[in-house]
Amino acid sequence: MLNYSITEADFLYRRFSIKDEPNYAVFWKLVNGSKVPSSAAFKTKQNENGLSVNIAALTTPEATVKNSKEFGVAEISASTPIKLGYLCKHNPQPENDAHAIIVGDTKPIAKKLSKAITQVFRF
Amino acid sequence: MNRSISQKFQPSEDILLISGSIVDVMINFRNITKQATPVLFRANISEYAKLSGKVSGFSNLQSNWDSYDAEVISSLAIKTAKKTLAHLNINGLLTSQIEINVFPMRDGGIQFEFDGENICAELEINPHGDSIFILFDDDGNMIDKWQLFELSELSIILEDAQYA
Repeated sequence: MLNYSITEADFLYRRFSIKDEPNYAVFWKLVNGSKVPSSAAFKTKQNENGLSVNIAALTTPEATVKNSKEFGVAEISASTPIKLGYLCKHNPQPENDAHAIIVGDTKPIAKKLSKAITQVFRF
Repeated sequence: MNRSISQKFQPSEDILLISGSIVDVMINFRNITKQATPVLFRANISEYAKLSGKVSGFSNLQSNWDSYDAEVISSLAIKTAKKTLAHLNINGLLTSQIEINVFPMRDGGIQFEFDGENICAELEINPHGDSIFILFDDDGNMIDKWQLFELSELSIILEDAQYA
């Protein structure tokens, strides 16, 4: 597949865990009665070369979620990482043509990414 | 009622008030040292139990629990998170106006989030049990970041934010 050039007009999908008891891997918190996503879902591990996402223009939330009992999908605008100086690079995988990476250590911008969520998909 | 049992369980000066989920505990140290004065602290048992249970639950997470190759949560991070929670509880900070949440981290650590009118912050406990405090502005921009060596540093920051 040809490389897709991600611009500020694009949207990106990131799966997030919704598993509750007994593991409590839930990436949500309640602030003033509203569900707000945690930045923990957007932090790279040490030695990771970036944060895995899917390009919305090349896939669907349904295809991104894989297992809807354990995961939801958050949508963010690619303009958020791009404006913060991060490169968003198409990185197709054998079973996922829509795969992309927000290149670099995303810990410093994870809070911004979590606040920039435009839509959440639960199935 | 059996007199000895009734005497044994008679509320003493050491534990005074229980009201709902909030327990006001008055510890009178007169029996320990004559110089000490009574200390009052407020502990929120239900909130502490909820968050502590959540932290314990992180130990059940298998590797790749987020589908993006997340690590198993380290026992050191769990231990430090529990100590942190106990410290926050003893200092009455689980009853404050600051919302406190805990999340597993992808690298095997645990993250606390603090949200209040005057504070937006995170405490990252890495897999080795080290604690990093991060302060943000309302838009999520990082203002400052430093390592905490004593839990008292955390309670001072949160108390300052609470009464700012």
